[in-house]
Amino acid sequence: MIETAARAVRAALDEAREGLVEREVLLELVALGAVAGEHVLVIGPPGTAKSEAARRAARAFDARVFEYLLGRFTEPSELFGPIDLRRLREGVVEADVTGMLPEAEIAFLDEVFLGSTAILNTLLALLNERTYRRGHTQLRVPLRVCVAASNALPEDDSLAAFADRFLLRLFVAPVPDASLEALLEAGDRLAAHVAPRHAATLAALDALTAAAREVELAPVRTSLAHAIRLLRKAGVALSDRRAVKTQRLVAAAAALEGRSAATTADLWPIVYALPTEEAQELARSVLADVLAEARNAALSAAALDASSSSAARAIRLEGDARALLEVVPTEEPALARWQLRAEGVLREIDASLPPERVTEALASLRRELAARVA
Amino acid sequence: MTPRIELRAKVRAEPLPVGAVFARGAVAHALARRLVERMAAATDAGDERDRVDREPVEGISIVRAEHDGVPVLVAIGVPERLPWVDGAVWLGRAPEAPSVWLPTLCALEPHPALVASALTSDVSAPFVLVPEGARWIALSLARAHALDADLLAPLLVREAHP
Repeated sequence: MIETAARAVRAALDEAREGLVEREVLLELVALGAVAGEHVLVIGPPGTAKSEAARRAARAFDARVFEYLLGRFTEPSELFGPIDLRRLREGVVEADVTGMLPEAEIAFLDEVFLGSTAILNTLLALLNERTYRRGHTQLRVPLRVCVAASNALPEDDSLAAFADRFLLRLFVAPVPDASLEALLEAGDRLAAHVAPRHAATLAALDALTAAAREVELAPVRTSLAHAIRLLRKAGVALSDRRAVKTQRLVAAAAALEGRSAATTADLWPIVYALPTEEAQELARSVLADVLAEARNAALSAAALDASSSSAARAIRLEGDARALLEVVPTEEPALARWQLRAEGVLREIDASLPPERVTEALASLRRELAARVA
Repeated sequence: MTPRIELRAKVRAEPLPVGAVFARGAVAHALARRLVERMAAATDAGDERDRVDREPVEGISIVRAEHDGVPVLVAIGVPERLPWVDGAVWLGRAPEAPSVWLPTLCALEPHPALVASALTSDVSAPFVLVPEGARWIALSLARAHALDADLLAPLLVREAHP
């Protein structure tokens, strides 16, 4: 059962990743958060395709999505729905939540820290307890994961406490120079986007959420504690609450690979549980040995980004090579473009993996690509 | 008596970013051929979109040399524009001593800056160090040339008549 759900989610993610330039990690963290029951905070400048990753996740899982850009003057009703006036005449304060955040399965809230106190307080209950309360309205909400975005982490203490509710954090920058062509080409194709071929149902995601709760964590507890000690020694603080919750992420990573027990390969999400960009950067080097075996077939980009491990890189390159070999154009100029991409994958295999880390599957894919490029 | 330094290569945990490609012997011939093909593709490219996609050779510089009578070719440039050839060695700048170019997965002992000062009077002059069996190939990149078909021609001739 868990393997079937994991396969479905992986296929959906593979497809959602197509044409997404430099935001694969965010897409995968949305999936990890959904399975772990945790939310994602993404920090980065405007116009960096943060919402696109959330939208793609919603499409991949056939989920109802609610997306909103908050401002200082945003009214709670813009997010949670207006008061039902008919019911108000009857003396009952009830919200009409049709199509609003309380009905969303995946939510994207841009500039979240600009929300008023009333909005943030209501959001807190919605995020933590998955409940929405207003007047006589009290609902269990179907929210799987909320992705919140902001230009920067808040400095205000009360907002920082709100931000702390987002266990997963990702810091994004504009697409680097080397990926600009891919970005432009992907942007060109966005308009022609069609319905996904491999949409996994939310049921598959929910099955993994249930499986994640049962994942055996005992085999990695000592390693996780060791990792936290290493971080503390390096001056990187991970609060007790976040440390405990990190186990949910580890369990979710194992479940997304279709396993019922966690291994040291699943420890990489600890990097995304660290609250600042500096802490995450430092953790990547401090935890290099602990994360040496990190990998995840469904979340290959995130595992690689967190750990830079050879195992994670090999899995990601296998995926890239397979995707390329699935569709080989026969005519120019598409063939010339395809060959450039194939050369890029071959270059990365040769330049970034020691021979002993090239799996048999990857070696075979490399031979196939090489034969078509030579 | 000249002091000897024993160089040791270790595996680098985090690969260096690619900035050049090194080829020797038959691989150097193949790399030369690929570079010339790309130059031709640049000339033939049709519309603007095609030109952008092919991104053939802009900014690539090369160093051609011989080592023990075997041809060696290094092409330097952004990775996306460097052709892939089977058997070539990808190089990056050692962060500890940016004038030293090493295979992307190679860490050097002793410290590359010490090696640089032992090998050259001008430590800022770039050079390549590539392990070859028990020995090392050292090659200066100080006289790199812009990509030029004439410079590659001898390698193409020898590929045709080895």
